[in-house]
Amino acid sequence: MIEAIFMWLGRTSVGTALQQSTAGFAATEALHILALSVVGGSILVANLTVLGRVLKTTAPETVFRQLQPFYRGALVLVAISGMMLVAAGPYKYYTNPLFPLKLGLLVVAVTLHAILSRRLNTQSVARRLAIASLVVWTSVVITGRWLGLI
Amino acid sequence: MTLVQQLYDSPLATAIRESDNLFPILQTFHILGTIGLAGTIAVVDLRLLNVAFRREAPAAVAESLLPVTWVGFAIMAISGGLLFAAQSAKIYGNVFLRAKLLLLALAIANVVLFHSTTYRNIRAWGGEVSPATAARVFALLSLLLWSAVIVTGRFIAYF
Repeated sequence: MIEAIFMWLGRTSVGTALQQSTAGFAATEALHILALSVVGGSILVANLTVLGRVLKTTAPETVFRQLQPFYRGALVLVAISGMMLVAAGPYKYYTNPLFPLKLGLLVVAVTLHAILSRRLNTQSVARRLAIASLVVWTSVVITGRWLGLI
Repeated sequence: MTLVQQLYDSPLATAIRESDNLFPILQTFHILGTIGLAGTIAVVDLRLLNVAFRREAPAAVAESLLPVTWVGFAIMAISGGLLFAAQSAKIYGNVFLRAKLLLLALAIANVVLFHSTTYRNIRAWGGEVSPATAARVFALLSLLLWSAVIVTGRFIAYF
């Protein structure tokens, strides 16, 4: 079933186009990195605010609310460009043991951020969640870089 | 022997090139540094463009995030310098590397120019203020230039 989804992605018009175009593939990767910079930047600023390191005069609730549209929009772009990269080399990702690990870590990271945004009023809990969130998001980036190598 | 060839042949550059893991480790730091640098710059630019943190004083947002931007910049500069050293003789003629370095110079010039002109007045702006047109132009240029640096940087590996 999962294999069928990967192979279908590879047969889509976007998939076949990217398989034949180095510039198209590089542009998709560039979009992926631009979008992840916005996601990562939002997460970094949001978590550092909870930890009392930046934007000390602004309530964490305000920081989360202000960053939310950019975080969400960029996360959608990360997902779309990520699926396009998979479509460009479906078998490579289907057989890669780091791919499910990265996706799993991403789910944990997104979940931690969602929980944290609802627990901002309990400072001790919020601080622990912020540290955990920073660690998991960093591990998403690390596994993402290693994905392309094995 | 040219300077680039000397850099390429240096023990450090050779060690990075010959190691299995050092290159991707440096690349990972380079991406994390990008997030710290570009992510915080984007937040400040969005404030200056009046699309986020409208109730916060622009100076408060900018000054609070600046240390994080500097840490990101240091990580990028060190990891980027080492990545370049390891490949220097092979890629110094790469058109995207040259474009990236030019765009990086423009992006830094934009920061310096902003801080020596419009930013001097920024402290006078309180919260809930809509920044001057000049500040918005600097912010828009900043977003475009740093995005272009990231895009051209990714293209270096393919051409």
